Amino acid sequence: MGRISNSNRREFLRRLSYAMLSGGTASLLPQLAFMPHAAAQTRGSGYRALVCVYLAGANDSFNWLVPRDSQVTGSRYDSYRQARGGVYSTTNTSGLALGFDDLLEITPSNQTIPYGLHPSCTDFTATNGANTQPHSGLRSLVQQGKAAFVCNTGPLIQPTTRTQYESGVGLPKQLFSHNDQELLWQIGIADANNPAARFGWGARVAKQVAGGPLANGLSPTLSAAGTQRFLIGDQILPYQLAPGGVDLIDNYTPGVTGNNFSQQRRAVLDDLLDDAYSSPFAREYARTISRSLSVGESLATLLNDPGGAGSISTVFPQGNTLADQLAIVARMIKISRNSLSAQRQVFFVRYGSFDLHNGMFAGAGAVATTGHGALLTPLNQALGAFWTALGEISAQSEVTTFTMSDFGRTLSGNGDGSDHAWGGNALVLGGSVDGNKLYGKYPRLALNANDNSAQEWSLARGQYIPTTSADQMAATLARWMGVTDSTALSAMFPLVGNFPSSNLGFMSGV
Amino acid sequence: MSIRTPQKQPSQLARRAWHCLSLLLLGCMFQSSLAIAQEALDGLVIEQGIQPAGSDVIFSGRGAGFETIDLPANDAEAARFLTQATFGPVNADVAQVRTLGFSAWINQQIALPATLQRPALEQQIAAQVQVDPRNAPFYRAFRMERWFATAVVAPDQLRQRVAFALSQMLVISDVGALDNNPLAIAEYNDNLLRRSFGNYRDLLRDVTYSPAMGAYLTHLRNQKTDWALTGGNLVPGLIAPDENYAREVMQLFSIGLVERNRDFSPILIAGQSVPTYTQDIITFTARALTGMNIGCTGPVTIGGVNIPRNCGNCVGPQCNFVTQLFFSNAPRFAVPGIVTALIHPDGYLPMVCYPRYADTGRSATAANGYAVLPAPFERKRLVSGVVIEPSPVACHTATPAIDQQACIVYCHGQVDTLVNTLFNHPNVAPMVARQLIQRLTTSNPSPGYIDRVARAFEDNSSGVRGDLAATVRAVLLDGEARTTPSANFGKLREPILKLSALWRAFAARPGNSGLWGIAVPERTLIQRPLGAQTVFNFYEPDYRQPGELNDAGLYSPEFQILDESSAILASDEFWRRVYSGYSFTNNTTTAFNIPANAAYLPSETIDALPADNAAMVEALNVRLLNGVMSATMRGKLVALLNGALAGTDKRRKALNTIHLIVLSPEFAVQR
Repeated sequence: MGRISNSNRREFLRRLSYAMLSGGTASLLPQLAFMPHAAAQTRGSGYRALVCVYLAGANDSFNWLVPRDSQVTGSRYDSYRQARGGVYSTTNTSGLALGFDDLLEITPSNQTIPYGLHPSCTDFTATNGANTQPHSGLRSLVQQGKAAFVCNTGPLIQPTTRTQYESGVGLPKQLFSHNDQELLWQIGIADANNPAARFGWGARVAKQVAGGPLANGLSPTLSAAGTQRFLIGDQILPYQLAPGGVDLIDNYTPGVTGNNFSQQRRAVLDDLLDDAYSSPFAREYARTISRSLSVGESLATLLNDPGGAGSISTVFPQGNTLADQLAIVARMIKISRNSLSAQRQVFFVRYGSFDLHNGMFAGAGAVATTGHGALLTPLNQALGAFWTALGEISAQSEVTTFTMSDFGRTLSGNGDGSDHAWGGNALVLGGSVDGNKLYGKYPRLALNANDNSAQEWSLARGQYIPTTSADQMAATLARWMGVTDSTALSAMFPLVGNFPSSNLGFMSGV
Repeated sequence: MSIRTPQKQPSQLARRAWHCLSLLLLGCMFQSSLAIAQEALDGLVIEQGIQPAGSDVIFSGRGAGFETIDLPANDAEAARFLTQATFGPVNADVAQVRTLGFSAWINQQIALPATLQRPALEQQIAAQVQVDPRNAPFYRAFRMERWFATAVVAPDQLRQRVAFALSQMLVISDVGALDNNPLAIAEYNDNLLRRSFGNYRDLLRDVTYSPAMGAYLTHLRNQKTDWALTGGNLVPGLIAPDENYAREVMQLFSIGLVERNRDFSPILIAGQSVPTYTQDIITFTARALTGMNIGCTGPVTIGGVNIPRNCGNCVGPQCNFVTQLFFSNAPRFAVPGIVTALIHPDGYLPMVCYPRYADTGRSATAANGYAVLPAPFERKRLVSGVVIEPSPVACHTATPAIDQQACIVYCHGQVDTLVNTLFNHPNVAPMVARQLIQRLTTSNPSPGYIDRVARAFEDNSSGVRGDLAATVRAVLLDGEARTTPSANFGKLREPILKLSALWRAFAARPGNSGLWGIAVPERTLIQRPLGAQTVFNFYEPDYRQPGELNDAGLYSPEFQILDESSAILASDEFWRRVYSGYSFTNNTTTAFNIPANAAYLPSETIDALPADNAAMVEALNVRLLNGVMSATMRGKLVALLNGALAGTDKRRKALNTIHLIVLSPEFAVQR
């Protein structure tokens, strides 16, 4: 779909709303009717998986990746420092900038200046009980070319300038609202009323490249963080993982006798679940319980296999809920690929809340581990341990991990924290990532930026208008997963045609 | 979805049109002329939601108001009502409802005093700190225990149930910033209880002034932007007011995101929904929510524990100008290395204003006489075209005594103006109506049902807007809730309500220690009262479970927390609860000992069940399924008792059957 002018868009949306009533969307979007379903055409061979790490509450990502050229007046770092009210200290408690010497320097190969990562991004040693293991942190992973950032990205209908923002036309709806923006990230389309947005983009990709569940009933989309729109698709309901593994129901074990009638009880339960009910809620409940029992039992056998089919020895940090989620994801990747012949999977994990309206810093506490650092350090450690685990199962090049977050945050503070903004920086991590680079455009950070030639636009508090759309990032990952057919890709991401490219280039060989 | 012509009176259409235009919203799509607005409102209004169940207007009991069914025809109907109005039906209440009728029972409930949380919890914590002080998060369990004990045994069941519903609409949580302040959460809960049958305006004001809410949504100690002279120019400082509460009080607690008709359907213009506010209104609203912190009431003694509180030498309004007090936290009882949850009451009493830090529309610099700021910064534009003008007097640390009271009045005044403005917005009635219905009776009310409840909110028939008692009555007494439910009527039960129903059905008691053993319900039930993961509650009102429910256009919020993992965890949890105190070493005999630290179903109750298998199943049907168990289910349960369980004792038969019922689809759904 090419660019649409304002009046055509209005007409399009009006016709669309009526078409939705009459069920005639196929006539408006013929691509949907012809979307290829033969997975073999687009999948490619081997195993590939996406792991979405959702940073809930909006990560202050302009403090995660920071320009680090020099401290002289007029430098990129200096612009950042000024916009954020100066470096935070106990004598400047309303400042939000990180100190130059606190930043961990990186030198992305496609940039003319160095950048710095938040001090949380260090190498570290994970401890879990009596076991310890060293891991690379994000800074090392960037330097090794395994990680990159997509800069100043967020939901966009079309490339948007400051002037256009002020006109109010052609903008994503409900900007700055947590759940609405999270939804746009999860559907990968900046317009939630688009018919393709009915399903999450992770599930649209899974449907295209995996087709459907595995032979044992396991969905191609899996969550360690509850129900997520990102993973819900056409005949695709995500499988829910618990960090401890797959829960098996107690006291209803089939085939076990002499245990308080476990088997007989299970037979009655199965019977009740198979009955016909007049209430659709009862029917759906019965389906969910049945599915939990059958798929869970087949997975548990593998995960708990004494021969180790579902175990990994990598030491994950303890007391880290994201690490717990990624640990079970790693085990699921192992059994899915090795024992269940899975070829394409999409995972979702979640961490947060990053909604630091206050508490960006914590008095005299170490910046790496307190305030915002108290979230970024566990994030760094969970990802670092996950990277090692993927190495253990030889899946580093087969799995691409990436972050999404509601939005970036205001450069200027409110006294001890930042408020809601728009564009922010996202991470991509994987052996197939063309790493040690910044993709998209990292702006010179300032309040009220309005520079059309430099393509730098921000509002009064440094809320940046993204210059790369979240849809583009999703489309790039979809390509790597095997959605290479351009018709299928544009049907899957209908707004991406408004932008220069559906391929940001951060995946090697794509 | 269905297309309907608007059913509104012309005056209401015009009101909506004016309302939209007065906001000068960018979202009043594309053109702001009256003609377009009128054309759109005269045209098709696309409704969301399902068709009303049934079309029999004569016998449906669902008339335009007002012919309601008041006496239950049988025990099953009484029990069904109590499932909607309490934490689970019990025999005594069933009898009461049959005698009094629904309406009089509600009146009786409204008259009962509220069983509060905070006072008893405070005494309990005060006793604990003197014996074995622990760090503050330890006491979260105390609040949880008290919450469940109240839900199961308190006589003011309807009030408790309504407050629980309100806690899922006006969300606050002990996950995050408040994990060390159970007393503030408990006091917030008590505010909800006190207002459950009161007025929504008062409730919204209490919520806004709650320091617990201030901490949760970060408008506690929210500071204005200081404008100062720099090089002869008046420039704003870099700090801007926190916008968190400003957004959520509108999005979640009052008007929502889009303009709505009274039946909750969105108002559409040129096929597009109309946003209720834009970002700049959020920014203005945030400016009105500045300058608040806890007050200072001096030292107290709680349960024999002294808590000092030094307010300095200020008197009356002077105290609202003491900078230290704006930045002060409520002290707690502490010993070296340990800070407990016993917080000074200032930590949960309503916040007060500190005008120096409130946005008054004036500069912060003496050099220009604290002059009124240049337009447009001197005023604040709220929704509904309401504008807050700057303060007539300057408010700073050296404000003379003669002006101090005026500053305090201004500061509180703008908060109250905000609360009143939101309260009076037409959206509040359908927003509150729809959510209360979803919490109490059904996930998919018809537009007519919502409209009738919203009308009761708008006018309780004595001309009062916002009467929650009238609104709750409308929810429970509406024909749609009282007549035989259609197939799509009802909801998946909340896990906490399944547990409370189980405990109430069998008159469960706490363990010997007094504990119910329910400190962390979220681990297996995915719900924690006033403990959700985010301000968006455990589930969202608009969630539709993919598959059959979504395809039918049905909302199903509670399904958002039901999945492969939680289904198994819940089953195992209910097994522990059913079998609590019971043990066995073989397949024939079941022993019982009162547990020390967990609630249990009393053996007298279990032992008093009928010995005959079919009669036992029927007795359990009455207790747990309101007497409407299907014949097929009954047959399967009786067959199990007659077959595999034939040789076991009555306790084993009963406990096995109870758990199967609790797990069953028929128990899972409230209709």
